Order: sequence, then structure tokens, then C-alpha cells
Amino acid sequence: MVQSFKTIWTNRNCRWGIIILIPILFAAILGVYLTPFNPVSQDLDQVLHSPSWRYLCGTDFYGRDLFSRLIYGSRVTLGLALCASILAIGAGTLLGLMAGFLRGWADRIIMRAVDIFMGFPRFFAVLLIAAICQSGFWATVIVLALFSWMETARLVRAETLTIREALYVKSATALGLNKWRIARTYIFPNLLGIVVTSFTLLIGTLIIVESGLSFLGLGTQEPAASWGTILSQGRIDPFGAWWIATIAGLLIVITVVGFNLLGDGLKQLQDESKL
Amino acid sequence: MSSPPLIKITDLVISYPHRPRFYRGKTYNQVAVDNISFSIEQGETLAIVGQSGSGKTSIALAILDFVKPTAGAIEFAGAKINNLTTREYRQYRARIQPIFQDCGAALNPQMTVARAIGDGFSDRISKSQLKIQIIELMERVGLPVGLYLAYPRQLSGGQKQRVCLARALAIGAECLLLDEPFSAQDILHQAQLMALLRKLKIACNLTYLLISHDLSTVRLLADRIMVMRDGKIVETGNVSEIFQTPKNEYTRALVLKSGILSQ
Repeated sequence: MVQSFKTIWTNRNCRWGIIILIPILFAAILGVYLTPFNPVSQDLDQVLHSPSWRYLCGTDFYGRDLFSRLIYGSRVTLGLALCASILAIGAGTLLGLMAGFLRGWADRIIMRAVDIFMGFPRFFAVLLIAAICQSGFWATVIVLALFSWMETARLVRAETLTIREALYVKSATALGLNKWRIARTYIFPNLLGIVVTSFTLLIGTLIIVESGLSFLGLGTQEPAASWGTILSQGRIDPFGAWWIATIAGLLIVITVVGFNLLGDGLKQLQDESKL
Repeated sequence: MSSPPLIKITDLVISYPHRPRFYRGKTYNQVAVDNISFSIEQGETLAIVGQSGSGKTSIALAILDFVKPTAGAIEFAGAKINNLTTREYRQYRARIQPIFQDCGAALNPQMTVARAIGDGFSDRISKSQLKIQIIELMERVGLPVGLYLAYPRQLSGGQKQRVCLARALAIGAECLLLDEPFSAQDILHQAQLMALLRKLKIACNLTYLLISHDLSTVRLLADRIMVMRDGKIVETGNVSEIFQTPKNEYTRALVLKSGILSQ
């Protein structure tokens, strides 16, 4: 574990990704205990304060402290992207592993499902379903996961096809181990590098999709905060209350860059067979 | 009544479909092993020798059931391997184990030495017993016990080969298919591995099917040698016959090349 972290730390992209993400994740996990104001309570005497020592990120149109709302919003946005990524990567890995290892009918059915789901433009499919279904945390998670598992399934299938021909898998077959055990102990552990890389890259993508949904009013609903809803508020007066859209937008960009750097770094390490 | 040979091969044909590019014509079968028959007795070492592409490895892959024969039969201890029930088939799998030329690639990079050796029988015994048995096996094949938790990338080529040997012994293999085991080793390691294989053969009453392209290395280990060329058996005989009075011109050439005849 320590050795793995040391290896990851030696990669420049991974290092910067971790440096960027640690404060953001720390704020998302523990920041709720540190927020100076209630993120939903309105104070109409403090409407549209620009950033100051009292209000670090200013206030919005209802006098709510933007710093507190961004911290609460990070829980929603990151939580949603994280849960959807776990679901999508879990499903993609399982289906890709089944397709690549079992081949035959399982492979054909799963790959046709991948083709069908990839035929839909993700954002518009998510938009359509979110508009039809009631929006909520878990509904959004499921909708996002439903249209995000395919790339992982394809990657995992391709990798499984390579690994199943490896000599150590043939040796395991010669030992008389059953297929399930070979998939679980010989193939899956060797897929972890690719799975972790896909996971970090997908979180970044889903943060943008979730923010886009909330921006359009189909994700998280007011008065609850997410980075997308805060960004959406910023468009009411982008020049007068410049700090709302700017800070929320920057936070989204920085977080996505952090996850992408980490994902790219992990991919580099994996290509160099260090993971 | 005498017991049947451990492995009996009858009229074995193995061909691989060759698919040329679409504009070059029809698919045809490339024959790798062409109608051969031989048997290996319990406790014997048979060496199959021949140049690359002569069909040696295809025979081993067919015995391991990694390649389906086009025609012919393979019997193990009197039973045809394609007629076995699932349970018998699993038992058969355990009785015959391959030792590949590239032993590094034959070990799961995510598994420690202990797990690699114990994986085939870990579900049959308790954890404490498992550890004792793994250490015993490591000692038997000459692996330092300090490598118990080492990963394949931390081992030398010779140590990886010993892990593969220990893994085969762990599940009670009776026959080892040794596919070019000496080719990736230097002279010193070749001699050490040969001595270990000889010791294990006597201690565990093992049968070896040794595949090699080099006659000089198999001379010290084999009881009988079968020379192959283009999928056919050219000549079979015991070691002294092959080296002192080779009947076939191809065998003579191989022996001359190995430098033994001239000595």
C-alpha cells in the first residue's frame, strides 16, 4: 500500500492531481463542521455582498453565504459523481469481464448493449430521462450511471481478452481451478489498474454532466446547493454579481482538472507497467 | 496384468486453420502434428526434440487439453481425456502439470510466492497447515523461505521456475510437461535445475515429458528421445541409441550440431 502510494507520488500528473484534490475532498468531507453560516438560511440584509473577510466568497441574491453553499454543494456534486462513477465502473467492469472471459453469447449480447447505449449522446439522454423522471439524488445517480458504463465495459473486455490468453491464466486452468475462481483471482486483480484509471477520469466527466443538469434545473433543486445550481444563479447577473458564476465555475474546472491529472498519471503508470 | 502407460497417444493429428487475407484465397488447415503415436511409461522421461515448428509444443498443448486434436486419441492412465466426466477431468488436470519456458509469465504478477504455490490446494486444508506445506514445498525445490511473501517481479528466472515446480508438486502432479525449461537459463542454472529435476523425479516418482530443440541438454535427463520433424516422428530410441547410432540423417545432423557425436 505504502509502496503503491510512493509509486503514484513519483508521477508528476498524479502528484498535482492529489495536491489539487486533497483540499477539495477534505472540504467536502469535513467542511460542513467548519462552515461559518447556514447554507440555506436567507439574510435579505446581506444580499449580493462581494467577497470579503466576513463572506469569503460573497453572498447570493438571497443573502446566503456562498462559501458555505459551495462547501455543501461539493458534498452533493462530488457525492453524486462519486456514487454514479462507482455504479457505472462496477457495472462496466462486471459486464466487460463477463464478455471478455465467457465470450460467445454473453459477449455478443453485452457488446450489442454497449453499441446501443453508445448510440445515444450521453448528455441529451440523461437530460431526457431527468426531465421525464422526478429529479432527486439517487434518480440522478442512476441515470448518470446508466449512460456511463459502456466505455469501461469496452476497456475491461479488451484487457480481459488479452489477460485470458496469458500464460498464468493457462497455468491456473491447468491447476484445475474453476472459471469463477480464475476470473476472480487471476483476471480481476490484473484489471484493477485500468479500472482505477477509468474511475478517476469518469468522476471528472460526471461532475461536468451533473453541473450541467443542475444548471438547467434538472439536477439538484433549490434551496439545496450543488455547484451546478450555484453556477446557474450566477447567470442572472453575470457582471454585477460576477463572483457567483466565477467562483463556482473555477471550482468545477479545478476539480475536473485534478481528477483528470490523477487519471492521466495513473494511465501513464499503467502503460509503464508500474501499477 | 501390466498397468497401462501413463500417457498413450494414438494417431494424433493437430492442424490449425490458416486464414489468409481475403484476397488470397480459401482458408486451409496447416498440419502441425501429422498422425503420430507414442506412449510414456510411469516414471519415464521422454524427450521430444526437433527444430522450431516441428510440432513438439502442439503435442504438449493437446495433452494439456489447451488444443483440441483434429484426429486421434490421447489416453492418460488408460482413460481417454475427451471421455472424462467433469470430476475426473479436474482430477486429470491436477495430475499433469506444465512447466513453461517463460516461467515469469506463468506466474500471476499480483500473487505472492506463497499464494502461487498454495492456490491449487488452499481450499482443502487449514491456514496453518497450508503455511507449513508451502514452506515444506519451498524447501523441497530449493527456494529460500524468505521469499514466502515475494512477488514474481522480485524473483530471478531460476527462482520463478522453482515456484512453478513447487506449484505443480503442491497439487500432487504425477507428470510434468517441461517445455524448453533450460533455454532461458545460463549454464550454471541449467545444471542446478537439471539436478533438481532428477532429485524430484526419484523422490516423487514423477514422469517427465521434456520438450527441447537442443539434444545436448536433454541427454542428461531423458531415458528415451523422440526426434520430430515437420509434425512427424523421425526416430525414437533410448539415449545411447540416438547418440551413438542415429539411424536417420536428420537425427545425425542434430547430434552433430549438438557436438556430442564428434566427442
